[in-house]
Amino acid sequence: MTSPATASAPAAGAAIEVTGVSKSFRRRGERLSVLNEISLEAVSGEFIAVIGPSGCGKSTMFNILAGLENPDAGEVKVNGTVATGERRYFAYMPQKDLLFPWRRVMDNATLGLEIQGVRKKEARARVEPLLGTFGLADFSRSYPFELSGGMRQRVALLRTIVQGRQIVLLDEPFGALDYLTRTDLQLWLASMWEQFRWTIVLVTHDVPEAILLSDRIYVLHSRPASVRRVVDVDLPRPRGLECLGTPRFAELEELLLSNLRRPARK
Amino acid sequence: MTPNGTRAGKLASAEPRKPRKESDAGPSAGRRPSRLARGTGSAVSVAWPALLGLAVLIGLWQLIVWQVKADPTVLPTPARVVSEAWSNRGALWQNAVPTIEETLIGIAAALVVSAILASAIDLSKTARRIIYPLLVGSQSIPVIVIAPLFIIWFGFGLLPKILVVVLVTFFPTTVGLLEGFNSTEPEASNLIRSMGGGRFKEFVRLRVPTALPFFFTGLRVAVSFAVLAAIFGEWVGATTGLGIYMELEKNALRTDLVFAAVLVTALISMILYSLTFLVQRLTMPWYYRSRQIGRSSR
Repeated sequence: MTSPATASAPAAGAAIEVTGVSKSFRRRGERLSVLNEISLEAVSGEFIAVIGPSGCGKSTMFNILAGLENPDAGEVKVNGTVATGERRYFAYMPQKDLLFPWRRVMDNATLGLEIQGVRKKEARARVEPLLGTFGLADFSRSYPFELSGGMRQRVALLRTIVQGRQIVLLDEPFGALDYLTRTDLQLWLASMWEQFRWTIVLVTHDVPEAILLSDRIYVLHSRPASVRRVVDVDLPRPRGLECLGTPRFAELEELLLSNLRRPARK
Repeated sequence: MTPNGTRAGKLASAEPRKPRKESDAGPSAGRRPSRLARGTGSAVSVAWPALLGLAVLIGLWQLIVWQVKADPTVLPTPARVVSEAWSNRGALWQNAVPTIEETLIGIAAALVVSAILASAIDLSKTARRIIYPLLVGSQSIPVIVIAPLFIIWFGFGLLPKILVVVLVTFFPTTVGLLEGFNSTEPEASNLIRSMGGGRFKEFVRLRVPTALPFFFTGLRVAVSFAVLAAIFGEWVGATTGLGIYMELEKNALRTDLVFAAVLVTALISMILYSLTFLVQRLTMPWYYRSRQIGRSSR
């Protein structure tokens, strides 16, 4: 708790508990079940990942966590308080960076705080000390179009983190990047997380990404999505590039892939 | 004839923020039009081909008048139009002032109207249902019929002309704004909602800036009609203004002065049109700079 940035990291003791969340939609009179009894949890400072085939309902789950949609059944608890449909516990980083082209890096980073009603001056003061940590020190006055894909994603993460919410939701955050940039950012995020210990829920279909970053991985079935398997990632931290070559990493990767590929059985 | 080098130098100095050095140094003929098409060229480089085209047209006009030996009351030579315009510059200016006034006030009023209408339509479904059909219906009102009625209702002053300008110009800007609001990415709206923002914060911080480029497109369409609308408003009844001036000079068989007034009208239109680019550049600096760089780096 010595870093100047700890103030904006999620409060200690935060934990998320999702129990039996189900959701279905009506399409042309037919009931389409999207999520079926999803349960997962993370203690404070834990990094969990949810992986599943594309179109398995991950984004619906995300919208429920972010409070944008309500589940038909089940509940979301944060620190023991029911948080279903609440928006104030989660900071959400979407798949696209969604930086506003008319805002400079600094103003994109302060967007969440501004929306929360924090005054501009104070919002800037909160972002300022983090710019260096996020490798954006010299770019505070740049427009998004002047940044590389990796930098844009770092601005998006900064915008997410400074909101000071208890839990960070990452929705395939590096999915749109090229392989090298993606790997760079994954390693960077791993080191950032070790420094700040945010509570993170990562949704991805990039298996190595999930292994590299998370403490525990929830593997989803598709249609309707339900948790098929929970895998603890017992690789030692800090994890760097060398971790990718270890036998345990390869084992986990194979285990996860075989679980993802096997067709759902009753 | 201007040597090639000087022309290239003019172009370069007119574009101080050229993003990167092109590898081929010479001013190749193929590059210039593409730069013009992007709309990033300066006034000088944009005006160059237009002036050339205009010169050709004027030359043709002059030739035709000489060839058919036209009576100046039927078709004056361009030289005569310009010289008569100059000797009547006082009268032309006096009549241009009210026209410019009506145009500017009309556009300003139209902007207020379209901002209110478009915001209401975007923020409220009920407002959309009420206003949208009326909006479209308003465009089927024939201006030819309504403009004389404005004179009957509001007299010969500025007001009826301003109303004609508003009637003609508020539609393109409103439609531009509406299209712009609708082009907002749903994911971006979700992001704002996840941050705790409501409909209003989303509107101000996301939908309005997203709509700006569309708005300026609408504004350019509006501006190009605005002067004509003012002149039409004057033409049906006024004491001063280019519209009534043209009508009077036509009746006096001063065709050269009618053309002179047309010339002034065109100048006003072009200046207003260019101003929209200036205002857009000042309002949206990111837009131009990203387009300058975007093409080559992405």
